[in-house]
Amino acid sequence: MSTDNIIYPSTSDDSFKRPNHGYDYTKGAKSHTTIESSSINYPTKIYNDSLVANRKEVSLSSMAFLFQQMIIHFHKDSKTVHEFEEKLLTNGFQIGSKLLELLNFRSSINPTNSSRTSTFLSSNTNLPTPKMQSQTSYDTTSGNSSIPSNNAVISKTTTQNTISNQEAASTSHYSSIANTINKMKRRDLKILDILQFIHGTLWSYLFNHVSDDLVKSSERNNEYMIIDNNPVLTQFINNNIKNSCNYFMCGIINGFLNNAAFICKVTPHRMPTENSDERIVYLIKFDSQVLERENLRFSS
Amino acid sequence: MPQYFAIIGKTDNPVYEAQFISTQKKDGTQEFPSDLKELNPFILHASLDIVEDLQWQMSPISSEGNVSVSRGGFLRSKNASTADNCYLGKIDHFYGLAITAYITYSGMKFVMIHGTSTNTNEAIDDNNCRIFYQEVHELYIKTLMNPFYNASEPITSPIFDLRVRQLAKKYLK
Amino acid sequence: MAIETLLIVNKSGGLIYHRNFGEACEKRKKLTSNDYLIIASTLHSILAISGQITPRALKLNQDDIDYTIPYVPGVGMPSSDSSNNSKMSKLGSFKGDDYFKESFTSWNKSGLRQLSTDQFTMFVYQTLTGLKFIAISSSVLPKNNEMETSKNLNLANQIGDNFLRKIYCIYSDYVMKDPLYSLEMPIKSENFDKKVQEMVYNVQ
Repeated sequence: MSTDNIIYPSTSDDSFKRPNHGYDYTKGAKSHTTIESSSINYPTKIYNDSLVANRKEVSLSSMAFLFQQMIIHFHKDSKTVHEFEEKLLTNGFQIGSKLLELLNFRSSINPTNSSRTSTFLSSNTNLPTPKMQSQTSYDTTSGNSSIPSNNAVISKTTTQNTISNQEAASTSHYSSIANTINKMKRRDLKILDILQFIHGTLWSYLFNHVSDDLVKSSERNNEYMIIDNNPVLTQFINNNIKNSCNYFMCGIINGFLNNAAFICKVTPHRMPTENSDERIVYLIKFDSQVLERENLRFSS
Repeated sequence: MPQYFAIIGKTDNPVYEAQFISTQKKDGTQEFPSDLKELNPFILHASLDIVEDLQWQMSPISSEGNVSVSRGGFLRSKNASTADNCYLGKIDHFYGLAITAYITYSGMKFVMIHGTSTNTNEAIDDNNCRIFYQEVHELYIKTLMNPFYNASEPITSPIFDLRVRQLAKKYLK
Repeated sequence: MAIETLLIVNKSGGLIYHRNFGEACEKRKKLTSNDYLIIASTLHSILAISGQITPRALKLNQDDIDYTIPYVPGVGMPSSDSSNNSKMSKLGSFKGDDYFKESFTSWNKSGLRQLSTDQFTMFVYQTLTGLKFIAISSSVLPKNNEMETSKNLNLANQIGDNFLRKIYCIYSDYVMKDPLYSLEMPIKSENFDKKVQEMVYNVQ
């Protein structure tokens, strides 16, 4: 396989010519994999781990220090405030786009307690206990699942199972949960649905509480606001760059929405009230195409 | 029967492609005919328009299992909105080849061409197919969790490749 | 115990924060910022010198001396009757309703810890990194009964240490976690100001 590489890397280092057994877009679809016969040991931890969260808490201090270093790095590299904010936005965007898939998938596993599966940042002392330990990890290669809905599948594939025993040895402890899901969580098609998901699930995942409010603008119908009375991430940051740092959270929201095809712009606004002088309003401005689509599809 | 599976990104770029060939050598036609094999990507991309239309319908799967494009989402009754809208079922066909599709939450399209087998028009097992897609979806999310992987880049991981093929063996005939 | 002045001196004797509270604002108007710098470095020197002049006997018996300072509950915290308010003011990265709840060891083992005059009392809290938190209180300790005095002195000292340790906690949150702060430089943070103000207000 390695001999018919279309593009050779311009290096004399032989290690770059190692045959790649994965998908290669310059060649298109392969009909079989060569990894089984190869002697190279590929790391598989990322694929062996379960997608169900098992860690519940991250120290706020270490998170604050990490965020601080990130701010310092971007601040030093940027010439203007706009550039700095833009950088934070792009970084948040990446996180948001990954969270979109992960959190929706986790909600499918157990819809009843989906919103409280993990806490990334938390300053709360009492944490919800996970209820889904019972189905987090079981071996697909063992084939003998105890979940009744799968029995039909397994009986059909027993013949194959004997064939793939060889592979099974190499992929033990491979935990998969997708085949226990009877119904995936629906993709959010409406603006309100996905905003509710951000307000509830995303916020719970990040901060262990739902956001303080979700409001639709009364003046413009493409504007929505998510309100946080006490932003956790930026609470220690000095006031003169605090609002710029909130662009990171905007990036997360933006990445989440944009990847779900709700094109929008998100900006933070500091609006202190009597009770909370740290109150932040994340203003979400949807693109006209989103509203147009909503009108066409769901106007009835 | 053979299958051609692909993950299509948001700009209609291929993220991953694979051909699954049954290992049982009962009859000769376990692979796509060589002239058709080259056409597979084209056939698949031709059906993407339908996927994109179904993406925004409240209930893309009809009860019979095949979907006609003309039906608008707004005509469906309200209770249909509780149904699964990730797995789209059979969305298209091309000279006897059935095409099924699945959409992830970030709009990645999983599409598969089911090749014809010799023993007549066998219906696609919707349940197994759905579970296959869900498992691949899980693998895809795991790939996404890799900090060195950027969304909508080709997935070159050999482990991903291996796992998808194992799933295909398990769930697809 | 009313706190009149709070000073923070870095490890090389430079003043990085000073603030007067209440009446002291008026009283100390005559002092220029240069005066404060001199006070800070003088105190820093005294601390260093007092380490040198510690009696040798005391140094040899270091192990026998208990430097543990007990936790005094509720120093500088909002009073419990306004409990509805307590939910609002979260303690930064500190969990629970107080910054710490256990006794701690004083790192200030050979330096100056307290200075009592008939005008004011001064408390010094030194951190492991040589940062010094200095509070000047208007309260004058009574000196009629000797037994009484030493007891009072001890309690005042403990409260002083507890208070300054909490200021240290606030410092660790709002100064050390501020991206724009560079070490050993003067502290100019509204958040820190606000939190310190709150705490001083609660002590009074």
